[in-house]
Amino acid sequence: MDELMQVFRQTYLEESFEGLAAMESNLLTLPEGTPDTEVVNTIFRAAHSMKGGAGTFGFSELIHLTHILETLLDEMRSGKRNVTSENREALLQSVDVLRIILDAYQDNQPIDMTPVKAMEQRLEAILNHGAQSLATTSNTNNTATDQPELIGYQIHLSPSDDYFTSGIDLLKLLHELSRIEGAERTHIKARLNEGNPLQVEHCLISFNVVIDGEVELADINEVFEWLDEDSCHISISPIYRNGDSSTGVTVEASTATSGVVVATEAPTALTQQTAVTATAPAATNNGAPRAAVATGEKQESSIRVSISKIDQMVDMVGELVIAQSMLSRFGLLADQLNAPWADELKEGLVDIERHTRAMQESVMSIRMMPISFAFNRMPRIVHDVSAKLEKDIELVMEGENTEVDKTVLEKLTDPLVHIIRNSVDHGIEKPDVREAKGKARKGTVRLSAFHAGGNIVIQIKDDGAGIRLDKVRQKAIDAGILTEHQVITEKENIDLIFHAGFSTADEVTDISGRGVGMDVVRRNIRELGGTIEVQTEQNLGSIFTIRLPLTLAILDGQLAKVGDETYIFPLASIVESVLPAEDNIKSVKGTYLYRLRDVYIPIVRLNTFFNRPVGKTELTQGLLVVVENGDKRFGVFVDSLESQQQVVIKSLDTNYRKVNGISGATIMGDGRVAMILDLTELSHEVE
Amino acid sequence: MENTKQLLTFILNNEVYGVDILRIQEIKDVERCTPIPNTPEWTLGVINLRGSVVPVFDLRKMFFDYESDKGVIIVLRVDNNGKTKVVGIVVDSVSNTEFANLDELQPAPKKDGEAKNVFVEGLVSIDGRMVILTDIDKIDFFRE
Repeated sequence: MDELMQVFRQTYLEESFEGLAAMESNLLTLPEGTPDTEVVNTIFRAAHSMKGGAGTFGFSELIHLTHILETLLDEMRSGKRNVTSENREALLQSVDVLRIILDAYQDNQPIDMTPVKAMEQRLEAILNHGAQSLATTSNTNNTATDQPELIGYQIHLSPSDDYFTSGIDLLKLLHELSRIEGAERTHIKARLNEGNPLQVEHCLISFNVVIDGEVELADINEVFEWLDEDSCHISISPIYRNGDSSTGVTVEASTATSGVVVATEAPTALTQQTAVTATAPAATNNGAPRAAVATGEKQESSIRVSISKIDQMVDMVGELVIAQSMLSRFGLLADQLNAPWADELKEGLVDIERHTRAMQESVMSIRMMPISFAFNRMPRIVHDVSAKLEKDIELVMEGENTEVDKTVLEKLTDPLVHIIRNSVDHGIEKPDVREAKGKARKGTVRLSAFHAGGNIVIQIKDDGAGIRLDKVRQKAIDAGILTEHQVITEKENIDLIFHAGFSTADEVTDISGRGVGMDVVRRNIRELGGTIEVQTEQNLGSIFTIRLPLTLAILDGQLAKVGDETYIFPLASIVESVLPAEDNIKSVKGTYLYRLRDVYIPIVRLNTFFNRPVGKTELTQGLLVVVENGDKRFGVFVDSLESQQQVVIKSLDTNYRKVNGISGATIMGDGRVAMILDLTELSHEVE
Repeated sequence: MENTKQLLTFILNNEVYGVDILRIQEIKDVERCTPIPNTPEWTLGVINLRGSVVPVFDLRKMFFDYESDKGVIIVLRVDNNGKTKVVGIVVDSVSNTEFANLDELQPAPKKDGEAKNVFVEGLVSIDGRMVILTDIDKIDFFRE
């Protein structure tokens, strides 16, 4: 019984932490004024389930506070109380206090009641001021009825039958719509025109687009500027709060069974700022509890599994991949023997290979989580820090559904927090300063994630002051990192910020600027096998770009031979491979370059780089593997290429140490170990 | 027999050495290793030990300046800055398991400049034979 209770208790705590996260994110989006009932309801439900469970486990400290919270939220959702910055702030802080309480339960520690009591008093004080708030409520209600609030636009697009001859990509226009300034959400519904006989060249689809948010009509018209009225009929109508069209839309969106939901097709393209209304099951991303809570949609059922069990499975699948590649050699052997059972054996082997790969993919996908788990912390941080520094900052997040490995996710959060804090603290200027520079008073920090070429790319972009390179240089000289007259490139100048013990904040604040920042950020990212780059432009802002490998455990590899040694290239980095022609080889001061379609690329010889007395020396005798790493392209000289196969990455660190140019090792089908190349380190060779 | 330790004894450069048997994981025939680039020549490379990648070091090249085709790999656990790592060391042969009385440990006569001094802990007499007790953790296998 006790053990069972323990399990339930743990589940309750985990759910409560999730509830807190949901409360927090919803509170941050809660606009001031008349409460948005749906949002308040979500917050209320989270608080309510927390209170309900607390009773079962005898968490009395929690019950009292959540009870007061409930009363306050109830008044809001029944319209008796407005949302003011004061009570929203109080609600946000009560989330913090609840977190302290839950943390204490989790660690079986006694609870420090001082903040809890203070919070209770503060909430009660707000509750007692009910009458005053009521007066303002009626006031705003009046203005609301006088002037209906515009909350978006509905656009109907019906292309003519011969639309395709106009040559304008309609999908592009639809994407454009979702990027209009102020657009919070875009619902796109496509409908097949009935009655027309199906003909390939005819466009038989019409679209209904609903844009939520404060958008300008002019911006919408601009999107359709090039569209000829004859080729496509457009009608745009505004939607007002509580207006007919708005209710119509919600019904449509939730019961869209007849229409085709375009959004499910290309999640990477559309997730950018476009909250896709998930009507098709394919769009419901696994493991996105926040989104599900927020929209109150039907959740897919799920179970909680400890990460160690999954890791065990990942390990086992890894061994299976090795065993499978070991077996697959026998297929070839059987062919050579002309065995009568060769075909059957090969068929079976192909099946095994396919299933192993499928199994591996699904196991890996269990470990994948949407990056929103890391992003979710950021709105609160930007909110708190910008309030403290009296800055006006908007945080825009894009691609929150991009999936990353859980290990990556965990190690990513701290570096992200650090960079965001830096952007808010050092990057974005105070509103007055911005105005003087001719910029909008409100600064923007844009946090986006997307996939690109076998990598996950995360960008943090701000439109602030940019990094003062001269100042960075001076600090570096003061700190003894650089000598007075040393000449460095702009890139090296920027990279100084990653030097240990470096901080450019004029005064050390408690937000950032303790000088233990960016070097730790870079180290963390490197540990994950990733890179970080910075671009900056005076008064225009800075962009931090983080590139990370998709997964840490398994790699699609290209085997290459140097003498009798096998090395493995990450397949995703290979651009092409060429047989070097004598005429295209140039030697400049001992470095060899190769002319590849009028572009010279440097050559790295693996045997020279690794000091191995093996392999071919004459470039024309071997093969040049052209690889791309970051923004660098270079050729790696090997004897020959072998097969491609999936390899399980084993760290050399486990029993040895990091070796330059090697990112890890793997075990091949014949049981031997082969080295996996670290192209980032190889690329330093040709700098 | 209070302060005793069970040792695995092995032969290296015609001398008998002993190492704490609790560290030993297994003993293997010498096999072909995959070389690790840019490492000292006594680092033979890595082998696949049932799915783990384990580095192998030739103690004869490392400390006694000779090479031999014969030999065995002793796979054992070493401590590297608080982290346990599994490594293989190549010796001429393995001889026996024996109990040594550590109370009788004598300081080893050390000749200046001998490379092996780093890992020699002392001498113990077992059945009238001298065994050189080793402290494997003192060997820096991982240097560049």
